[in-house]
Amino acid sequence: MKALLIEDDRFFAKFYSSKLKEHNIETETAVDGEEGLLKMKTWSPDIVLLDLIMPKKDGFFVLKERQGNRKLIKIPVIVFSTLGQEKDIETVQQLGANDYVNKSFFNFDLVMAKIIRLTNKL
Amino acid sequence: MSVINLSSYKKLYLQTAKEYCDSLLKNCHKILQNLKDKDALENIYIRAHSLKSQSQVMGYSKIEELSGMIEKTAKKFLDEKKSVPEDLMQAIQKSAEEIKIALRNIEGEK
Repeated sequence: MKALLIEDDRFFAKFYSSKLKEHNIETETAVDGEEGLLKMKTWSPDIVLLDLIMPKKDGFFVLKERQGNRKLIKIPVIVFSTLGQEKDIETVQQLGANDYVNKSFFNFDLVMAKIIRLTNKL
Repeated sequence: MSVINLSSYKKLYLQTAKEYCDSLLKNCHKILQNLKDKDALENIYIRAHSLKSQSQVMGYSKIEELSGMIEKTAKKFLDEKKSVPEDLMQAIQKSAEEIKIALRNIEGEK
């Protein structure tokens, strides 16, 4: 099982990548949407955890690119939101995100449940 | 639900939060030199957003509130494609300085 974490914030990246690894999930990280898209294409993860607000290319850009790519659209994406991003959630759902989670709740059990549901793995 | 020991994340929080706060101050300074600097405003928006999110996790509500206000203001002016007025920019800078002091206080806690 391979998970790609696209997150510019080292604080959240460390928490979520260490938790994924604890669950024996092979994890790669990308610090912005540009690097994230490249790793989605070359590393072929089973799932992507995607932050929205990032430098260079943001999460919205990644979702738009994914929508137009037959290979990438097959990779499920869970969007990381935070407080006050309710409007953004509507947008990412329209852009084809499979699910979302408030990253600030640090509720990894919920993240795992969503990963299992979307990948049918583990 | 698993219980997370947040104290183990305090060091990383302080490290990244100070970095983001310095970036806020640096970009405030840039905008006060040139009110039309859109890249600096974009950086303020991204960094204030990060600071707000991680402060929410750690329970530092004052920093969460201040950075949330900065984020919201920057987003409004970015969406409207307008420059932030100088007096408002000075208020943002003042909030960033308050965040810096709050971070120092957290660092000084035992």
